Amino acid sequence: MSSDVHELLRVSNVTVRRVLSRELRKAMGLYYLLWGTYPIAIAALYTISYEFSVIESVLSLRVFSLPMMFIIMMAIAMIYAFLSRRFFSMAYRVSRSPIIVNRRGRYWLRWVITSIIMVTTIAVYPILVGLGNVYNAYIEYIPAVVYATLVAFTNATFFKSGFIRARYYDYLANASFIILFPLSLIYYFGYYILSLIWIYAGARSLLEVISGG
Amino acid sequence: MVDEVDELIRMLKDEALSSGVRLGILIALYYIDGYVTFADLQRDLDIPKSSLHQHLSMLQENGLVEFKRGITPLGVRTVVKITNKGKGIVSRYLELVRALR
Repeated sequence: MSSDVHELLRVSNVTVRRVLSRELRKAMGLYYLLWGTYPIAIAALYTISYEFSVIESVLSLRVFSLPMMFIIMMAIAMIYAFLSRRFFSMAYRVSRSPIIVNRRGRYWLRWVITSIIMVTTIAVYPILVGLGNVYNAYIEYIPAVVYATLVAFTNATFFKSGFIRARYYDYLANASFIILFPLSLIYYFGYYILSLIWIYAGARSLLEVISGG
Repeated sequence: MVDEVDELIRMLKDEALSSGVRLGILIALYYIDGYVTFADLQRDLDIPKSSLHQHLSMLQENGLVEFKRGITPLGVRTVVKITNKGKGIVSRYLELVRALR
């Protein structure tokens, strides 16, 4: 191929990288912000169900019965997952692109870090029980840790292309998710801390896009 | 292999794709698969408005992108989106690049 074609391909790759690095970071920021509001949405749902419990008992309605609450929570989660779909489909397509030359290949390090966080979170459980916490639903705790770890690995899709760099707030958001999501089954306030951390990560990501960092 | 190289060179000789910036914009729009505002593109590429407008007009004349005023969460903005024809061309381009690697 002639040098003209090489130059054309070089310029096109630079252009793609410039546009996609910002769009991926923007998508990541919106994703953090979106899921950061999930615990707030669920808390609002519980508050509504509490406020309306008196009216319900007067009218003999069972709108906020436990199964119905579960269905509403799942419906909200489905809406959030649907809204996240676009971000992940873009990240996935980019990560499989043949135009990426310099892939960042330090996946083993991510595996090691994530595994350490996961094992530590699991190891914390007997300590919590030993400290007098009566919570003994091991059957819920372990799947929650595994689920949170899977989410963290799925989030890594955004970084596979190497178009965006993982910042401290990305590590903070994902590590806190692995630790706090299972712990929130025992201590509910964990959900709100998680919410704050994810909203912070989202805001920082969007600021990065605005500042062109 | 030779056929693929020939086809790639033929494709890149097309007036619409003969510029690296236009090819890059088209590939980026293919991956985004949605609207991107003109202002965002200009900020990403750091080129004058007139140059970007010229590139996008060329792509639009060849039916590769849609380029119009649209409603966005930030208000009415000029937005750009890849067309089905554009997607087909980028898809073929990426197949050729994959085959050559």
